[in-house]
Amino acid sequence: MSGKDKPIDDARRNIDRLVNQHTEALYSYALMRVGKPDVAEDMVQDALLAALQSWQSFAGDSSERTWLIGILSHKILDFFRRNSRREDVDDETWRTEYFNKSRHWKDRMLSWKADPETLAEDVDFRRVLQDCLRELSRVMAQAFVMREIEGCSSEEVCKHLEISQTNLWVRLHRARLQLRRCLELNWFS
Amino acid sequence: MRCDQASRLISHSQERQLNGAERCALSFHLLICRVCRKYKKQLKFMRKILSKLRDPQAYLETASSLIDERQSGEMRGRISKEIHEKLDST
Ligand SMILES: [Zn+2]
Repeated sequence: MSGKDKPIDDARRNIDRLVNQHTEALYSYALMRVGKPDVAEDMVQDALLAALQSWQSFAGDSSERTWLIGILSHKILDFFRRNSRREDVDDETWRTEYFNKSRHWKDRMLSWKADPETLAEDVDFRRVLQDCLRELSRVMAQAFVMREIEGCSSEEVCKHLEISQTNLWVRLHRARLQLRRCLELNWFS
Repeated sequence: MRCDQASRLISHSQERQLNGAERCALSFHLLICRVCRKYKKQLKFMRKILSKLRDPQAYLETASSLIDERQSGEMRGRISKEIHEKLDST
């Protein structure tokens, strides 16, 4: 009888199954990138809705999860673009935040003894990393996430967020200083 | 060169080719400054670990342990309800 069904009915039958099977994975993927739980949940909902509306276009040649993550990833990048703060960020506050008068580091700098491959899969570390990324102000976080997690080139990030290269470098520099300090205090100490 | 300038160049070196003068000054600073050497290592470490989170596979096993069962149940309920409503209204 499926031939007689309107496409939307076909999709509707899949809602609960899709939501039950994929919500957690999609949510943790989104949360790592957008930081805020409510935003992450909205992204997941938008992605699942878009998936159901284009149910016919799912070719089935990739896994359902991969297809959904692809849609979600587009939604997240769209969100970044819509919320991009294009103004130049102040280049100088980081100096007094991280360096003393003689321009040496204020932070102690520990040796991080860990294997990145193993650590990336450690749930407790992931939680700390997620919290640290969330602490980054939006202006830094979007650029940083695109560059380091998504692996976009500097050029792609600038184009997408409509910011200059110098501006991007300032953001990345500050994000790195902050994330480093946060990880050291909350994980490596 | 001082540590503040060095930290900036270390970060920039992940984004662009440093010019001759910058490279020269930075390598000299790194020779004499243990703290900046550590910083450089840590940035590499961060880049490596963050790139591991690119792969959707990285979210399969950790996902359920990152959200608690009750939260996740409530979220599934909300999402499913919203989607039903939105599809109904189209
Ligand atoms: Zn130094």
